[in-house]
Amino acid sequence: MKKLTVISERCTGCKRCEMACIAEHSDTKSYIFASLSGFEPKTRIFVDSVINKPVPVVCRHCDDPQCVSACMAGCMQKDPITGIVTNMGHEQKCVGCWMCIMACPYGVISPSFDIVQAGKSEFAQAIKCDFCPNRDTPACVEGCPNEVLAVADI
Amino acid sequence: MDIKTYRNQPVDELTMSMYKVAREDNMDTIYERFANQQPQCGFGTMGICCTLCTDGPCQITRKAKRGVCGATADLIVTRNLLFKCAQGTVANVYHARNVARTLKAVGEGKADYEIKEEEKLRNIASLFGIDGNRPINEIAKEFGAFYIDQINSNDYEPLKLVTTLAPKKRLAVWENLGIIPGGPNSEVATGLSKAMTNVNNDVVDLLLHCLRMGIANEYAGLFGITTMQEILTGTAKPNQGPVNIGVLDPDAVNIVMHGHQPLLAIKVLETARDKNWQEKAKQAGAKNGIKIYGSLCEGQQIFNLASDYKDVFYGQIGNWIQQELIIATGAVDVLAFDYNCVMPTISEEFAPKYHTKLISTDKAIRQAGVERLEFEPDKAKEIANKIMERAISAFGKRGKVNIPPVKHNAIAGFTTESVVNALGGSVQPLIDAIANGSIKGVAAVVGCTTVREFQSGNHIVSLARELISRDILVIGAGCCSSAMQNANLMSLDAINETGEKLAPVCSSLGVPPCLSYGSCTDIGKIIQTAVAIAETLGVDVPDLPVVASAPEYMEQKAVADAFTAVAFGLTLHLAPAPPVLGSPNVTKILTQDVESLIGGKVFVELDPIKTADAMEAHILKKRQSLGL
Amino acid sequence: MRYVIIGASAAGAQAGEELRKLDKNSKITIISAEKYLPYSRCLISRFVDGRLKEDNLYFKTRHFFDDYDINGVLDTKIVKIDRTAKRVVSKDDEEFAYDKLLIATGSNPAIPKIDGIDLNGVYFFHSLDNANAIIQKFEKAKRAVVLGAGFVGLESAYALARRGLKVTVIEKASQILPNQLDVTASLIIQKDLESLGVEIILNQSVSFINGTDAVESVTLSDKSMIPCDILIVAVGMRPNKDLAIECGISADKGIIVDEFLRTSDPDVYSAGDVIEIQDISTGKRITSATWYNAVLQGKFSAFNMAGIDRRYSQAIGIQNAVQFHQIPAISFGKTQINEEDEQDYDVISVHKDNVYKKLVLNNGKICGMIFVGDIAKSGFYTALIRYGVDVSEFRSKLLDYDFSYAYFKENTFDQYDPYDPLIF
Repeated sequence: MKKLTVISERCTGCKRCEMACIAEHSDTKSYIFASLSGFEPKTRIFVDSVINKPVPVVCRHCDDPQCVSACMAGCMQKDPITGIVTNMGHEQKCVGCWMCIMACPYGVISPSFDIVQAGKSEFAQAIKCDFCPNRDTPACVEGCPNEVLAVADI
Repeated sequence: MDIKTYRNQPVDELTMSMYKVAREDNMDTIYERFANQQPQCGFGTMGICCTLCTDGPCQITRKAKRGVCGATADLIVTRNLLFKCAQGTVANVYHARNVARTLKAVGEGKADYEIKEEEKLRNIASLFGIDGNRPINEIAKEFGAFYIDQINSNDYEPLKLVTTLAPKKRLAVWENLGIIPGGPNSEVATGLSKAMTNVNNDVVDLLLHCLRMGIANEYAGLFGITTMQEILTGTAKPNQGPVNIGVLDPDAVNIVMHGHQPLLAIKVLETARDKNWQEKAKQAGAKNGIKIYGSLCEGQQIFNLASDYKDVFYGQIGNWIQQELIIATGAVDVLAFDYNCVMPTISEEFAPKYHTKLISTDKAIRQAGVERLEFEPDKAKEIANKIMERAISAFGKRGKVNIPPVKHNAIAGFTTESVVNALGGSVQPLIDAIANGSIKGVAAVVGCTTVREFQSGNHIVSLARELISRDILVIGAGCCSSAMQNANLMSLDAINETGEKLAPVCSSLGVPPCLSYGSCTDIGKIIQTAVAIAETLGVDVPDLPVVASAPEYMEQKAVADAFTAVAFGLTLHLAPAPPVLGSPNVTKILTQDVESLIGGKVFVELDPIKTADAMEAHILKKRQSLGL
Repeated sequence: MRYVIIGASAAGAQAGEELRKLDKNSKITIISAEKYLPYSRCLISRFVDGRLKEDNLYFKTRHFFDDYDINGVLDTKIVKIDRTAKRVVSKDDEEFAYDKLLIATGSNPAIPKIDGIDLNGVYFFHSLDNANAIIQKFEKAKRAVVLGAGFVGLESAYALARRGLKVTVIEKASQILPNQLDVTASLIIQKDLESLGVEIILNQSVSFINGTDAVESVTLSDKSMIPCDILIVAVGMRPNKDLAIECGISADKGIIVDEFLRTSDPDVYSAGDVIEIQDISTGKRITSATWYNAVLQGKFSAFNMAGIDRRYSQAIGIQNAVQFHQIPAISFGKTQINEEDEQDYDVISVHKDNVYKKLVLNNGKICGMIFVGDIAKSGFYTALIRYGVDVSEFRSKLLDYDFSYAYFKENTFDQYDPYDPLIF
C-alpha cells in the first residue's frame, strides 16, 4: 500500500506542495486560475507551523481510518488494493455531514462549500487527500523543491 | 492568543495591557498578523528567493542550484541585500533633503523657522568654502542649496561631503577599496542597475557597492539630517521627562507626533502654547488643555529638545510595534504622522475604530483617506494651527478611554555636544574613564523593534541590562531608546542595575547608564561621536573599545545603517539574522572577511546574554590592543 | 461458527462486514425488523427534503449481503432470545441458532404521553417508513410543528422548511440543542435556522395535540395554539433493550457491556444505540445514539466475537457534526457545565460574529469542545479529547489560527507515522 513519507526537517515552509495540490484538484490544473475562480482553493496537504517552524501534515490513508467509521453516508472507503482512503468515486455520495472532519485526528479533512455555491451539487463536500489517482506521483511530492515528501510502499 | 507564545518572552507593560484591550475590541494586531503568516517561507528568510524577472520566481533548492538566468544563491542573496540597502539609503537622503530645503527656505526668508545654532552653521558651511563672515541667512541659503546639490550629484566624482568631513584614516581605507561614493541618489541608481537580471555576478563588487551606499547614507543622509535639524531647532540638551503609555491624559486634548521629521513637531509645540488654543480646548471639555506627545523617532527628537517645551510636551509614548496599541487607548485625538514607519492598519483599521483623527504631514507618507497637511517650510505654522483645530474637534468624539497607569521617567537629550558638555567640555574625561576601566567600553544599541524573533523590545532590554551590569556604557537610538525608556533603563534608577565601576561614573555625572541619542537618524551622530573619540586618541574607529548592536532591526534604513557601521569599521551585532544565510559565502564575507578589508563586520546572535558576551569580548579585545 | 446479529443498521451491518473480513468461513446472519436493506438513518432528512433518493440511503450499497456472503433476513422482528438453547425466535416463529450473538437493536423515538399523540399526521422522524409517510403527506400539508429542538427535531424542521412548509419548533428547554451546545453556540445556529423562516419557540412544551382524525393544531403550555397539518415528535430516544431484559441480560439505561462489548452472557455481545457506555469526557454512564459510536462498537464487537480481543475504551457521549442551513457546528465531549461544577473546569473560547469556538479543560486535558462556523481541524481536537492528551503546555495557544496537529506530531494516534525515520 502506498503512503506518503515526510522529512519535516527539510521543509522550508514554501508551500509549493499546497499549491500543487490545489492546481491538481482544480478544473484548469492551474493554481493561478484556481485562486482567481472566486472560491477559496482548498488544499489537501497542509504546511502547518509550530511557532515558526514549518511542519507538513499529510493524510496517512490510515489502515484503520476513523473517517471511514464516522462516515454516515458510506462514501468514505478504503480501497482494499491500493489502500487509498477517499470519499469520492463510489456509489454512495458525500452529503457534507462533516462527521469525518470530526473524526480525523490529524485535521486533514476540510469542508468545501464551493461546489454548492457553484450550483454543481446539492451538497457541500468533505475534501481530503486522494493520493492523486490520475498521476504516477502525487502532485505534492513532485512539487516539493526540497525532497521533503516521498512515496513509500508499505 | 498569548503574545508571549512565539518566543515565550516577557512582554513590556504597555503592550501587555493595551493588547488585551485591543483584543477585547476584536481588533487584529501585528501579533495576529504575524501568527497568520507562519510558517514564513524559508527561502525568503534565507534570501534565496528571486522575483526579478518573468523566468522566475526562482528559489535555490536541493533540486535547483541556480535560478533560471543562472544566478546562484550568492548572487541572489547579494542582489536582495543591495535593494534593501538602496532603499534605506535614499530614505535617509529624502529626509535630509527635506531639512536642507527648509534650511534654504529659512535663508530665503520663506520659512516659519529661524537659525538657532548660528555658529554650527557657520562652521560647517565654511568647510565647504562658504564664507562665514556673511549674514547668517545667506549662509543658510547657500549651504542648503549646496547640500541639495550634493544629493543630486553624479556618482563618477567623489562626494565633497565625504571627502571633506570623513576622518582621514577612514578615507584612506575607503580609497584603497575604491568605495568613496558620489552623490547618493546616483549611487543608488547605479547600484540598482547593477542588480538587475543578467548584469553583474560579481558578488564582492555588489557588496562593495553597498558599502559605498552606506558611506553616502552617513554623509548625504544621517549627518545632514542631524546637523541641519540642530541648526534649525537647537541641539539636544539632557532633560528628564515622562515616558510610556501612562503619560496620556484623559482630560486633555492629546496630539501625538509620530514619524521621523521633527520640524513640524516643533511648530506644533509652539502653537500648543497659544493661550487661545488652550482655552478652546478647555471649552470643548478638556480641562487640562492641549498636550503634545511623541511616538517613535519623532518623539525621541522632541524629547531631546524638550527642555524648552516642558509646558506642552508631556512625554514619549512608545515604539513601532506599539503604534496600533497606542490608538487603542481611545485617548489619542490626533495622530500626525510623517515619514516613515506607519502601519497601513493605522488608517485602515485602528483610527476608524477608535476615533483618532489622522493627519499625514509629508508627501511620501500618504495613506488613502487620510487628511493631508503636507509640510512646506512656510506652511508649518498654518498646519500646526489646523492640527490644533482637528484635535479639539476630535476630542468630542471619544468613545471609551483606556489608559493603563504605566509611566516612568527617563533622561534624554544626549548627543556629541551635550555629552562633551556634561564631561566638562571635551571627550578626554570619557577617554580617561575608559582607560582606567570604570567604563569598560561603549555599546551603541540602536534601531528598530521587530516581532520576528522577540517581542517588542525584549532582546533590546535584556541586552542593555546585561551590558550595563558589565560596566559597558550604552548609547541608544531609535525604537531601541523607546524600549529602554519604557523599561526604566534610561532613568537614574537604572544606576541600581549598573556594574560597580560604571555606576559611580553615572552617579557623579547625573546621567543614566543608557544614554538616548534620539532617533534612528541620530545613529549618524553616534558615528560622529565615535569618530571624535578616535581622532582624539589618534586612532581609527575600528581600534576603539566600542561595539554596535541592532538587536531587533526591522526595516531597510537599518540595512543601510548596517553598511554604514561596517564602512566605519564598527563591529555590529544583528538580530534577527539578515536574509543572507542561504549563501554561506556571503555570510562568511559579511561576518569574517570584510573585517580585514575595512575593520568592521557583522555578527548574528539571537540570545541576549550570548550577545552581551560577544560584545564584551570584542570590547576587551580592543582594549587589549590599545594597551588598556 | 454461527454468528447472528439482530439489527442491520450502523452497528449490525458494520459488525457483519468486520466478521466476514476476519472469518471467511463461518455463517453470518443479519436480521432486521425493517424491510429495507441497511440504510443510513442519518440521511433520512435529506431524503425527506428531496435531495436524496432511496437508493442513496444504502450506506453499504444494495449488494452488501452478497458481497460479504451474509445471510440477510429482512422484515423479521425477533421477539425472544433463548439463551439456554442459544437461539433467537422471530414473531413468525422462525428460529436462528447462534454460537455468538450480537444485539444491535438500536433505539426508537420516545413516545411522550400527550393527548392526541395517536392522531393522523403525527410522525416520528426515525425510520424510512416514517419518512415515506411524511413525504406522502406533503402534497396537502402547509404547516408543520416539530416537538423538540434536539438534533433530530431540527433536522426535520430543516427538511420540511426546504420543502416549502411553514415550520414551528417547540422546545421545552431555554435553548435549542440543549444536550449538545451551550447558549452562545445555540443562538448562532438558531439565528441561522430562523433566517430560513423556521420559527423557534423555547421554554414551551405541548400540552395537547388537537384534531378529530388528523392533527389540526397543538396547544402549548402557555395556552397558545398553533395550527399544523404535520406534527413531528422528536423528544428523545429509548434504547430497544426489552429483548435483553426479558432473557435476563443486565441492563440499566441501556444494555450493560464490558470493555469488550460483552453482555452479562459471555456469548452475547451488544453494540450501538441500545447499549450504555462510560462516557470518558464526563465520567458518566449514558446511552449515546450516535452513528460514529455505533460503527466503532460494531467493529470492536466483531473482533471480540471472533476471538480477537479489542478493548473499546474511548467512548464519548456527545458527538455531533451538524449543518442545518449555512453554519456548520461540531460538538464533542463535555460541552455543558453545571454551575456547581464550574470551578473544576477551565473554559477557553473565542467568539467573533458567527464563529464561536469553545474548549472545556479539566486537569490540563481537553474534555469538551464546541466549534461553530469554522470547523476546520475539529477532529484533531476531538482526538486530544479521546486520547486524554495533556495540553497544559499549550493552553494559551489552543484556539490560535495556527494551532494544529503539527504540535503533536510525535503522537501517532495509533496509525501509520509518516515522520518515522525507520521507514527510510
